Amino acid sequence: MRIALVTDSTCDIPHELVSAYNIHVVPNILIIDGKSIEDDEHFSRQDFYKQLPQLHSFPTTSTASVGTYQKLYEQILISGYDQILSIHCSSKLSAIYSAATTAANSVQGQIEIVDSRQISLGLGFQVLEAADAILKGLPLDAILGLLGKMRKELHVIAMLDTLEYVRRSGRVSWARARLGAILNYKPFLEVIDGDVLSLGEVRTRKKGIARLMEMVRSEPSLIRFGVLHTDAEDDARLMLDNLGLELPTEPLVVNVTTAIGAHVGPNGLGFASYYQAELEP
Amino acid sequence: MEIDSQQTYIKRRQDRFRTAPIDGQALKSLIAAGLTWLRTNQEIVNSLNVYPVPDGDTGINMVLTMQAAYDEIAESPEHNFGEMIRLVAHGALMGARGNSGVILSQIWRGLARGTDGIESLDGPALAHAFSIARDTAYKGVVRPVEGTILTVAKDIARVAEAALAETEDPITILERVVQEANQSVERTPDLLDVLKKAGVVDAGGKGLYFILEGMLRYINGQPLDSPAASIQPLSKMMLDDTLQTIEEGQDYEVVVDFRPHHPLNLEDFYSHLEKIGTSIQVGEGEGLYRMHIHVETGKRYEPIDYTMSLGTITKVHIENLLAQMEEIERKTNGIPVKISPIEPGQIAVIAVSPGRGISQVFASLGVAGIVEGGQTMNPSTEDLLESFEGLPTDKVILLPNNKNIIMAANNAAELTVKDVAVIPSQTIPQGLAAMFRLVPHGDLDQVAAEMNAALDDVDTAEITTAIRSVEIDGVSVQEGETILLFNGKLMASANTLEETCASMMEKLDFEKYELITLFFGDEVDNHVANQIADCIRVSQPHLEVEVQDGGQPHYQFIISFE
Repeated sequence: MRIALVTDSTCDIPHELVSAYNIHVVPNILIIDGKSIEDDEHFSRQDFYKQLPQLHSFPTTSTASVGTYQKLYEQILISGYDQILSIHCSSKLSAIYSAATTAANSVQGQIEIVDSRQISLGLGFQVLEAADAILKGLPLDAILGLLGKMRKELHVIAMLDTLEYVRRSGRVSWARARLGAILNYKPFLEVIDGDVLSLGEVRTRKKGIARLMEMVRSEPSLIRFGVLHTDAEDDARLMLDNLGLELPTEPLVVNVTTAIGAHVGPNGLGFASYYQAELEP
Repeated sequence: MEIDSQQTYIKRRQDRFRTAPIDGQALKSLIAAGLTWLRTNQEIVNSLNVYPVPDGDTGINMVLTMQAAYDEIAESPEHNFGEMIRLVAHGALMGARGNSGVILSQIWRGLARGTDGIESLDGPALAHAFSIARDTAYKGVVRPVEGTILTVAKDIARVAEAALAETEDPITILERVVQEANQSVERTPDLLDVLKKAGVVDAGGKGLYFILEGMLRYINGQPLDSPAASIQPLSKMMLDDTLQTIEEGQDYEVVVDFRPHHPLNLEDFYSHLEKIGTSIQVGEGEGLYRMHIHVETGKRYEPIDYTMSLGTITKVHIENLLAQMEEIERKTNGIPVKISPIEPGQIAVIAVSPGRGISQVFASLGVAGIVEGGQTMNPSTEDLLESFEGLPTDKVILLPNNKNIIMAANNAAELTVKDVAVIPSQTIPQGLAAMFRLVPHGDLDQVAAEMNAALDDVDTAEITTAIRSVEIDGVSVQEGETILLFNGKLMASANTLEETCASMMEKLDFEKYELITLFFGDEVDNHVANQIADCIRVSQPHLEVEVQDGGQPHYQFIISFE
């Protein structure tokens, strides 16, 4: 059984790995000042974050259309694949999952749509593990089981420069309810079970970076690790160096998808980790 | 007042307590008397603060606690003593403010336990009650300290017990108790070094003494309106404090100075006035009387009409209390603080805040409620309970932000069925540091542990004006000077704000800090605050300095060092 792997651009998997594993990535849509732009390999995320504070109106994100997914699935099945595994961004944070599901319903064939309950590398790591499993020849059920278990062994945590973007985006209800900040502080967020939750705040960026590093160091054995940032590459690389981690896989540093970035603002710093909760016998 | 009618009045009062049973209604009069005498002497108690800082106000806290106790029974027709005192204890418990108020409420709780079910009070019951009161008070304090109200409670229990050997008369026992209370208070400096150094006796103990003495004075027909220190001349009648105890429906304050045509029968005068309004005080000086009363709008001319029928009025003063309160409210309020509603089931944090600006900072950090302490900066147990009982969650964290509020917070935690963690924050910066650790969907115990740890994340400096001259912690302070406290300890004192700030710059080790936040109080101008901030920035360029309008009373600056 040949299994095709599909995901969306919120997965933040570097292009080299996408090519190497032959993953189909559907670009998300960014709407800046009325113009729709695809979040694909030609789009400069760095430029976007630099522009972000100066934009007149708040940028919004949107998903690729149902039609785009439908065409892709049909195309994949025609080209010889038997099954499609389509893993996507948390349905609580985006309409991507529902677009994919609707598309799958009108296509003849075995298409499994999975809500990763995550975003960025939280989703990306699930896709990479699925890719490895496909190469090993595991059947679809087994892969689904693997993904289900894995979701409990992921952390996606970020420190933002300010809560303003999250507040204004209106996507996160508790942040929407918060008043504008009076004291300067850096909010901490975590993606848990598909939702974005508050992990408190720290007063200074310096303290925040220290807290992030503390969190990483207290993780049990890491299998995959990535530093996430929104236009803060230097900080990201420095943190990775200082952590000095030993991993079975290459750690990643990613400038995060605009689907998130537009809603959290520039200078964000965080990490995604896939860890082993207990040792396999 | 003619000697004859005065003596008759005294005799009737004394007889009442010696012949008729001391039941629930008698207790009501005694509570009113204790409250009145304490209020009359409130300033004496307030002035006994060890630290020359303007909060802590033991006197007013105990008055407000006793007021709450009295309010609970003011309308009650209850005759059963045990039932009445139970209500008194409940009122005190809910209205307890400040550490002294809370301990006082524990004493009432003990007195109520000791007289449970009693129809009327007798000697053995009274002595027993004092013993239980002592035990209850000590149990209520995590680390009991001798030389405080606790010691006084202990000493009077001992004396009451001993008195039983000679008499069963409750009045006699009360006399011994009051005498011992006075002596015990005088001994407190020998037991508590800070008192000795500051040259004062313990404020809480003194307050308790006044309450008991007030009851005895009432029984003996002695006046309650002039403070202990001296017979107050008319000019010093303490009307200012009554503003803080406005009851519902009492909209106007009426003060009438008059010369009666005939000798004034004080008892009749009082009872007539009691039918018209509340907060009655009568002062006397050289044949001239001053009557003070709070009345509702519709009755605002009645006290004048009544006094006119008794003599010649020389002066009348009417003040609209609501307008006064609204004025005060307006000055202290401004933009109402907006609090975002919490999600059901999440952890709700309640912060006590002394000022509008600080309240807004807490609100911006996501507190579920704010309790403002009022003029004394100390909220009552009830104020605290009300702040979270109605919230859609069982998980609550209280941030008292003042060491004088921690006990009331613990009290509130015990009185509710909700799960409440009290974080013993002693300053605003500590409260804010704790607030940063809030994870709303987290486990209550875990978050509380994090918040407790956060208290050490920050250092606090407070700048205020000394209300007394004293030498303490090796620093000599003159009344009126600007003093600096660091983490609660006196660090410096100087003539001007600038000099005190300069002292602060010298004495503190700024190397270890990254960020300083200055919260300026309602007495300070924005530009003065910015000047001080610039001063710091210039001398310590590696520091980030933030200036915020805290709006707090009494403290010119509250400064957090992170």
